[in-house]
Amino acid sequence: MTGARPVTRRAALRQAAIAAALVAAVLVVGSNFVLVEVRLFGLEVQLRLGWALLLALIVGFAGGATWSRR
Amino acid sequence: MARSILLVSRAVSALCLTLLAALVVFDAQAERFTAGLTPAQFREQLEVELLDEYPGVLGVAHNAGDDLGATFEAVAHDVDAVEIDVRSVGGELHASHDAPVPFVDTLFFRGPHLEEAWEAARLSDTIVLDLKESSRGYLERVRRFVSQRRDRRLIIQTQDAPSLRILRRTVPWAQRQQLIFTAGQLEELRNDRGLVAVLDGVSVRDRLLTVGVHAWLEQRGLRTFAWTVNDDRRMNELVERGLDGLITDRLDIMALLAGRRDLT
Repeated sequence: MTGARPVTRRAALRQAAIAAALVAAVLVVGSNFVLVEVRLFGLEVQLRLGWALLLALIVGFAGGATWSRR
Repeated sequence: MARSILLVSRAVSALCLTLLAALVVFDAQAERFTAGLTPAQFREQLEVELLDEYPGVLGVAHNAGDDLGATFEAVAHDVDAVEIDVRSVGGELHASHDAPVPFVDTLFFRGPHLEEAWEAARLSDTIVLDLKESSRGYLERVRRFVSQRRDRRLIIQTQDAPSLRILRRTVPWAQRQQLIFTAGQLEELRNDRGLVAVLDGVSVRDRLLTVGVHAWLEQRGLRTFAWTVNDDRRMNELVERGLDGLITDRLDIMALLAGRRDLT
């Protein structure tokens, strides 16, 4: 039987960063909860501004991360 | 220490994920607990005295005249006034916020004619024309256009002071407003008594409209419009101060400005 795996400082900080990002996400969505129309190339969809901002952030982050690995 | 940080962070993450999920699932109910107020909720929160102030403020649909669809939507929301940005393209007046690309403007420009925008907004009592150019020829075209259509209250605003002086002579029935984009322009206005005498009002960028500036404008008998105000709290603050015109994208608030109480 083995004990709990030791927690590295790096892993703890990474988890803290994830938690901070999630807190920021809740605050952004909560404080921008108005319904807006988002239009793109003729497409039109109604969604909360906070979700639209978060989506743009995630797409931008994912794109940047993919690009930097090439 | 590292383990404690990890555990606390995981707990916070779990809580946040739960909250985000709740915002997705209970979307309609969540409005009450977030900054996104429905117009009805907004009205409920207004002080009774302020509720009576709102109908006295002219509600202007920000740039709604630049797109016919937006114009119809604004009119459907009972706006007091429709704002139209006016540009000259190939010698004709068009409604457009952005300048057309030089040399190919007559080929690719797709903004509606000013006449179309004017007609689309015909159910609105007031039109706010935002002049984007200042040449003599352009001002003459504007004069000719509005002279043939004196069916509604007309407010003309521009940041070009000489244009306002010309318009005072050529379109005397229109309300003339100086557009203020920067603190420098505001300072120039404060130091130019001649210009103040020509004006009926000013249209000020919201963040420049401090209590002091508002009081100064009021003392000189200038009607004050603010743009672009979309925040509920800021609207309340400005209305309480005695704002004359609210230029906003918030069509949902227009019913309140029109004196209706049946917001949904």
